[in-house]
Amino acid sequence: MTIEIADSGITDGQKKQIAGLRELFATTNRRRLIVCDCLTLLAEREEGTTNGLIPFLETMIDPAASVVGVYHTDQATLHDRSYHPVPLVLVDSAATAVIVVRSFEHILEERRARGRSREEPAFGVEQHIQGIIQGVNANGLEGLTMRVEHRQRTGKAIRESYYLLIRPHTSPPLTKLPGKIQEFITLLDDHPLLRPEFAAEVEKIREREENATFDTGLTDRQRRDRDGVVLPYYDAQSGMSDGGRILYDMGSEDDFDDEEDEV
Amino acid sequence: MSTCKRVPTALEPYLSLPPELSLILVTGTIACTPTWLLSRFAGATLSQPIDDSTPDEGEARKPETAVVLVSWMRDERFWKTEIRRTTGLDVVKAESQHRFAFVDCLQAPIPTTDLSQQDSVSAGTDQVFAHINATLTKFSSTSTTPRRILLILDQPDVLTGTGTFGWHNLHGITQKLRKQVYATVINCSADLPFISVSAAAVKDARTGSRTATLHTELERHTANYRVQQAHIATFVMACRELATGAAKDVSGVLRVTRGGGIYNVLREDPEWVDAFKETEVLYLVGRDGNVKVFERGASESG
Repeated sequence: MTIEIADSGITDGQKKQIAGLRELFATTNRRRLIVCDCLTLLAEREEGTTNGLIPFLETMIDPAASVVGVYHTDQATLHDRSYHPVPLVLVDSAATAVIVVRSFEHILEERRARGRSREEPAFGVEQHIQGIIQGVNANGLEGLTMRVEHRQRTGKAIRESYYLLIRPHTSPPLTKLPGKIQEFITLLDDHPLLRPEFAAEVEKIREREENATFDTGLTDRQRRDRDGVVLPYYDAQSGMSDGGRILYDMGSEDDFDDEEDEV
Repeated sequence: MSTCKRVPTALEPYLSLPPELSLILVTGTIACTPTWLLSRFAGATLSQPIDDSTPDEGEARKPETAVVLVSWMRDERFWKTEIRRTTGLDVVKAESQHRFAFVDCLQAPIPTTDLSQQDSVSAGTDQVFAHINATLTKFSSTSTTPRRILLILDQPDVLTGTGTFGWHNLHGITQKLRKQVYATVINCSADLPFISVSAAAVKDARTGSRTATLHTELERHTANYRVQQAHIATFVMACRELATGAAKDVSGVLRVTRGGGIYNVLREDPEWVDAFKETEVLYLVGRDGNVKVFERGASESG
């Protein structure tokens, strides 16, 4: 069932709904999953001196319940009293798993920039450009990446990046590669577009598909012709076995200097 | 029909009626006000012909389209002139057919609220919602045929800017309004001072710093509202200035991106999502109200 939290915090009616649910659950020993699609909004609602997250989680959590909540990191919290943790830190400390979701296209752009020793690009609000809230290629339709940190009871945390498939791929670079993603979830590094052995091929397909309206490759004949071109001073580069030397023809008005010009 | 000609073909897919319960976020900046885009949303929706024929037995009548325009920044005269001028549509006729209604929030009193008092805020949100909802209910009761209402909210963010509501209160109002209609368009300005705190928040989340707290509460309310709408919008249309400065033959850049709400549509209408393309184009608003849309580097056309 869906409980919509009203604008003015959790109303008495909703509290009753939640209490009713809890009673129902108390009689059975079924495990349950509670999904909250916007913790950020909940955090803004004041409940006494604290933010609305704590009372909500308190009413929801017990040993048989797991809560999955979405927190938007691009929204600044209003709760910034100096000695209180901000809501994000609060839920982060309490969480047994943290999943950071990002656009796969953005990850790809970042890796390409890194591969060419360029500055990593920023997206959306982080671009600091007037009028831009959202970057292009956000909310990909084929899949997205997740950085997962799973905190185990032993105190050990496992961190791994995954690729989550939303629906089968149809766009060019992927459909032309030998590796295909079939699984719902794969390791991010196993994604064909990120595998180093495909890098050159991906680059070629991308250039052909996206950038140019003409073919940037060379035909065999063009390559042969290009190899046949004799560059100026090409012959000067051969037959110089005695190391680096300045080739200089003296003009008629040049004086020969014994100390400096030792040819 | 003359109205069809005035919608640039490149923009047609974005201006036609989106899937049900969609939210379209339109943003602009101080030099690129997207009123031309909003009037075209109204124009494209109203230019769909009314089905006058009596439906056959057992066949449902094709739903009518209608527009309710709510403005916090501009008055009725401006909008009527703008829509007539830019789309060639007879707004007065549409109004008499009950296909167009204007809700004036510019001259309506803004409620006085005390943000620390929950009751005072609730009363304020109820007042704003009731003011708009009165028109919506009257509007839908005047017609016997089912109708698809496109609700256009022109700069509701004024209400966070004046300190009347917190961003979550305003979000509550717009969400409630969205449920009353077929689809919604929200226009907000997105100049750098309105959104820069969001960038600080992203950085804070990554590094554990608290730089966002250096910004004022007003900035946070302002930015959070916009970002929240982008999170739930089906798509976002953002107008902004050219990075290289003002130009005589370019008014601005229009970027269309998928919002977080696209995944809701993906489940119900995958064909629509497949046809939807992210794009970035340049546009030129002429003195006669005509808009030309063209690719970067291309000369102006259609």
